[in-house]
Amino acid sequence: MRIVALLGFSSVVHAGALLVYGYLYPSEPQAAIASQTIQLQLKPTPQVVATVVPQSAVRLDNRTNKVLVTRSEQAEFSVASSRVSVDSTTPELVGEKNRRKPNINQPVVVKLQPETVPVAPVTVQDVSATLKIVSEQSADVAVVAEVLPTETVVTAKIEPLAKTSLIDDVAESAYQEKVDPFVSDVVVVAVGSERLPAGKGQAGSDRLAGLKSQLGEQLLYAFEQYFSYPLKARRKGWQGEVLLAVVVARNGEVSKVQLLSSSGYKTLDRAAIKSMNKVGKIDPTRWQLSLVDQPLQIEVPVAYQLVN
Amino acid sequence: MLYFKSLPLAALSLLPLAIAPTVSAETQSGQLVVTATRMAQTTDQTLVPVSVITREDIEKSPAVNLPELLSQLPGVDFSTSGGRGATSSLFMRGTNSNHTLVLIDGVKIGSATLGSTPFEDIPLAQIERVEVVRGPRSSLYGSEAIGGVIQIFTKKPTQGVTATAKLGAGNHETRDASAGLSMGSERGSFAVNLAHFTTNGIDAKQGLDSDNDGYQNTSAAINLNANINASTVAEFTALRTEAKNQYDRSAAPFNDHSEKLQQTLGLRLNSDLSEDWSLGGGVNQHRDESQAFDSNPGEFNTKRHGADIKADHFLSETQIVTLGVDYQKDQVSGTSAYLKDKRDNTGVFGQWQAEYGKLGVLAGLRHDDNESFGTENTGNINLGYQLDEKRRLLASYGTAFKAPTFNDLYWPSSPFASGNPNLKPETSESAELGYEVKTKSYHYSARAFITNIDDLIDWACTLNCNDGMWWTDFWQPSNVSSARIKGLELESGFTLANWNGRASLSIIDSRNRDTDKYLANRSPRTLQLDLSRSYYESMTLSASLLAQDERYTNETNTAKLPGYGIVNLNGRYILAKNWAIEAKINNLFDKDYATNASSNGLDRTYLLSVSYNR
Repeated sequence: MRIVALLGFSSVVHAGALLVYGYLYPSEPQAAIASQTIQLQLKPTPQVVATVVPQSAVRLDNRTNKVLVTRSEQAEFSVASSRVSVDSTTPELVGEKNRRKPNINQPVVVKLQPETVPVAPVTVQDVSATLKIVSEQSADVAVVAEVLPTETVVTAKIEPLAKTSLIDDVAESAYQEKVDPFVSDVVVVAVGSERLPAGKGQAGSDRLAGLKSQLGEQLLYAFEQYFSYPLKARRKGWQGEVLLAVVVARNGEVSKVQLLSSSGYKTLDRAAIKSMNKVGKIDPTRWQLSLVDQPLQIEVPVAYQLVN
Repeated sequence: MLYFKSLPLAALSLLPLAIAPTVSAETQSGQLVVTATRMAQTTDQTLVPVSVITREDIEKSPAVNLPELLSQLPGVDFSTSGGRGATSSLFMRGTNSNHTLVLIDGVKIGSATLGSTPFEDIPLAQIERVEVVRGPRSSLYGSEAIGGVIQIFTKKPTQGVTATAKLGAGNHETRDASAGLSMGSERGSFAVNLAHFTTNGIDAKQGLDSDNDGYQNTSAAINLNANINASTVAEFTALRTEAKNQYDRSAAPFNDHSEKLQQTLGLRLNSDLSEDWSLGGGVNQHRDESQAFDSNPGEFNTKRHGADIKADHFLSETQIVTLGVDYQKDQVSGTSAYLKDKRDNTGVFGQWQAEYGKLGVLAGLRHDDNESFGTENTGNINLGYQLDEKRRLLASYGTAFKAPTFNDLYWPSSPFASGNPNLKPETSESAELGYEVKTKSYHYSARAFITNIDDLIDWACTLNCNDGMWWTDFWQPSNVSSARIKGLELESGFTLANWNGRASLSIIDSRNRDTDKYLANRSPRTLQLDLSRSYYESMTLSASLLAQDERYTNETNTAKLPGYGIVNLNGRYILAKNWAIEAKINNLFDKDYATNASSNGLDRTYLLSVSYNR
């Protein structure tokens, strides 16, 4: 069995260093680096590990809440000029297990140049990181970035690389989160563009949508026990969608619940936050949290609907 | 792929939600969907048993008129003296036929003289939604809400422009036509609907004139909405129906018939004063007119004027207090010179609803001051406890009353009879326990209730009764009898793929407490089954069964009608974008049955319709 892409939760991270794992052609690592740039403006500098994998190879294991990398049959994935063939559907856990034996396909570690870190002090809110990745089938690209504990706000953004002839389309998404000083690590899942080309790209996008939904479902399953639809909202006929950002600590505890987007009604927003806080702790046996070495931040969409 | 497991749920969500969970949460397509029942306008169905029939349900139902539609609901038992259009009496949860309050667009309807409600005259073509509340609700609505409340809403305008038309024909020379227009923008909306129904019918009564007794109904409804500002809406509703019903009071060749008018007008203003306060108020008028053309001709007209103000205040996100006052003035006229032809009633009411975690509470109190009998106080408390995400326990207690009718109070004195102005209202006490399990795909529930009704008004001979000469007997009503009703309602339903099913069994023991005899015309057991299947978006097939046990037709329980079961079918097929065809078959197996003594029940009927909708 060969693993195509991995390293999402790699601990090969050093304080003050910024690393990107790109999945690149082993014999020409420098060429691949050339097509990927990461711009980070961070203070203090967080440690970021980003793994570039084909979208089609990524999904979330429902029970363990781990990011899995699957090899699709005969799928091809390439980053920049790199080309790797994948030929299996067996999922592999990315985590400690793989951390001990990484680099099966000799991924390339990209080290950012120190000069990208600004000298001038910036406020926490200003801190952002931009990750640029390009591939021939960029819709198939997912980035799994890992941020270590720092007092920062990190924005990871995948942007088109200008003037690269290889680009057909470029996955783009933005993800924001605020990390508390002493709330430890957070995994950022940046997802490919919504405007995807048909065919293989679409399949990859489905897969990533699935990954996202499964991340959420872990929490939702617990949330189901604590839902409420406030009397006031029912009486007034209020309906809407609330988007929550939920940080789940390593021991399964819901350590933070934040409102990402409002339903338009404070009553419903509050109800969603309150219910999610009631979840308290997620059953570690379900989650097998021992396999998770980082807290997870998950976007949880909650829709409030009235029916006759 | 694991994430595809959410797909069946997503597919389910596309189906009409025939089964609505009270409050539930389920994960669909990676999103948590918290679903709650839209609070019924009559009362909150999470604590009180409420059946809601939407327009979509009406379209899918084999029912051709309102009694047929309501007959598929638990607790509902109709006794009809003939075919469509014949007088239909409703015994909700075993109570008397005048123990159910009926409102159209919030306006109380029905006759103040007889106390009856002409269900048969309210055309389905005009109805958008029906809410049927079982159990006492006098503490909110006043008189008559002993057995329940039925609230009917006429078709409301929607945004944009829509036009509908429907033409149907069936056996017994039945013709059914309706048309409607609706227009709406952000400033307001307007809808008008017209309907006409005619049938040659069947011979309503055995042993008299054996002709067919036909029925005609013509109706018009107007709804106007004006959005005065962001938080204030003015609403005007009007429904007028004119009906002619043939029946047999005497032998041939008389053309016995009645001509009836129902007209409901309402003007209402609702305003959200703030996030936590809303205020509503309105004035309304209802006319119920009936003229009999038979060997005992007569005309009975009721005109009722009403006004009300209601305020809702949210004490918190989980507590609402409602305070209100309503006024109603009944005025009767016609061929009988009543001792008194008008009376008014003022009611003051308050209701409090709260949620404390898994416990829901609804409590209400109402004080009525009536010109003819004085004051009456009623109250209710409903409790609901959510055991887990599916199961609920329910308990309630409530009192209710029924004001005496003008016939009872003020029937003109003659050598044979007279009203009794000293009558008190009929009063009731009800208690109920319930258990329900609801999920998105299935539900079932059991409810047991007991209702005691005291001071029931009965007409009886009070003078010269035993002199052997019946023509000297003098009759008068008095508050003499009492009734005890014990009931059990079992309900279940499911939604599975394209299938929807529902079953209910009502077991009702309603007796006169003095004689221990069964109350006349109620069936002690009613079974209702509904099954429907949709094929994509284009076709729906439904079948329903109504089976009722034998019923006594007199108070001494010496005469009875046999039990029966009828099967009804409905098929609806969308031909093209705007066109649909529909077929209804009622009493598929042509069962010979009746629900009223010496009347005939409707034989097998069919109705084929074409409708246009855009």
